[in-house]
Amino acid sequence: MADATPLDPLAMWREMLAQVEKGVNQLASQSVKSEKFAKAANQLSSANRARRKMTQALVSRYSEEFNLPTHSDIEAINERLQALEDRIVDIATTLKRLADALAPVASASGPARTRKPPELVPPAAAPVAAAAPAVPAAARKVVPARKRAAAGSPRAKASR
Amino acid sequence: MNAPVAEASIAERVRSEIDRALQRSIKGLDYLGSDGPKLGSTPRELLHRRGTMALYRYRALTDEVYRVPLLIVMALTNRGYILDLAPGQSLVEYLLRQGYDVFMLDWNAPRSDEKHLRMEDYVLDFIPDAVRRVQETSGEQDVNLVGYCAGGMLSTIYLTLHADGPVQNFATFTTPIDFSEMKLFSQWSDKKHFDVDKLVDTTGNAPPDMIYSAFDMLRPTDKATGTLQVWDNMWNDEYVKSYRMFDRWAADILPLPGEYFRQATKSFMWDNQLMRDKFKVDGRAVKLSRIRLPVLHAIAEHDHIVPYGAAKPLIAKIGSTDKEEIVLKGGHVSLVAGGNAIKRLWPRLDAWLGKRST
Repeated sequence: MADATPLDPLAMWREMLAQVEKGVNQLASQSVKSEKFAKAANQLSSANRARRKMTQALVSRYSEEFNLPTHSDIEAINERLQALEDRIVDIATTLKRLADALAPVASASGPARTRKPPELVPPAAAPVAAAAPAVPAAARKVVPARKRAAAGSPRAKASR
Repeated sequence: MNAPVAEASIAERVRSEIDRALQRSIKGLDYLGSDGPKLGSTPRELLHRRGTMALYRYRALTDEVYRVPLLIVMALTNRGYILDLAPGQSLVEYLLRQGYDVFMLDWNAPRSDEKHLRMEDYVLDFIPDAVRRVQETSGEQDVNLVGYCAGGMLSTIYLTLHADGPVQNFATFTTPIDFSEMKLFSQWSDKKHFDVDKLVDTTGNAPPDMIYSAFDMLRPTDKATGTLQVWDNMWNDEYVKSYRMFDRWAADILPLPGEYFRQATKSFMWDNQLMRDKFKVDGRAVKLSRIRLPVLHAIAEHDHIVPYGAAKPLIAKIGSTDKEEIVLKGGHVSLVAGGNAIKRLWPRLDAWLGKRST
């Protein structure tokens, strides 16, 4: 945000926006805490659900009349497709596991599970680790990420 | 400030604002006509999917990993990509670069035939199944668990029922325990006005728009001011990218299985059973004191979804001796993602987990 100066109308506008947001949020949070609000919101929500259900029933009836697939037909097809996909994923995982079991040398080529946190690495080992680091130094740095993120993090969303 | 300096400063500011106004107009058209940034791009493999359950393993980014694999359990209402937004802003990527073998238990929208799913299915079936598959895939018996929000709550319940299980350490973020402290949600779901049976019987699964509206009503001006702020910052590509990522995630709400929603409303919102040690899963009592493994609980200071009071009892109630609560600046989401998380939570998590992962 730009620095505020007495002659900067945009900074004043932003400040005003922040104040309005704070004020309205405070006011609204008082209103939504009330029992009256809870009652009204639930009534509205129930009415909306009833209306939606009626519309869905009506659309389904018309769809059937014109021999078109209804929402629930499409949903059923989607669910069957998803179930088939689930089976395919399982078969692929099982095949991979079998292939790994048949070729133990190849499966052992994954990363070694020997990592230690830096504070537990004995000092004598440090120069060796520094000479041949398991993780490239550049890859371990989070500085660019931090810089990128710090450059722009929307206040409203990030505060959620 | 003398007069010539003040004039120069004003002229500079006017120039800058004109430049930004031009950028806003040019980039604003791009914004309206383009898709948002790609989210969740860290390479991963789908190990298993069963309806709503999806277990992923992320590809290692180091030549050497910690012995103990790490399983992240995501909240049911939100997509797991909040923990993997974009390169440089991804907790998953950060953990991979620190040398963890990362798995994620993420959730698909429950199908209509999954409306019967209850908490029992999550804590006695999905999570144990995921843990078993992590063991099989990694070849290790021990597993470390990380939970976020309701994912943390389900992991907590799972741990009370599997106290001698393979999980060795548990880190969790913004995990609700005392539902009486979630004042607004309690008020809105008060049984005097809210007929959860009618809702579930009518809709099957709890609709995502209802859940989205509930989150939205906690901060009613967020949407309007967010839009104004993004327009104001349209010249700033990083801001716009970040806004779009968070905005897309926040709107990408999943439905909840109807029976789960009914059970959570009655047992937690109405009766606060988890806090009172009265909750039962399949007839088995859920007592937090049964948890004895090392636990780290990270809570956000300004969390309006799971306020501090709702999350605080976890550490007090568990039976562990090695337990730690950290309260960090930020909100429900900024605790785990975005610039603040990179500086605050991620290094703390790594420092806690690293020595417990060998």
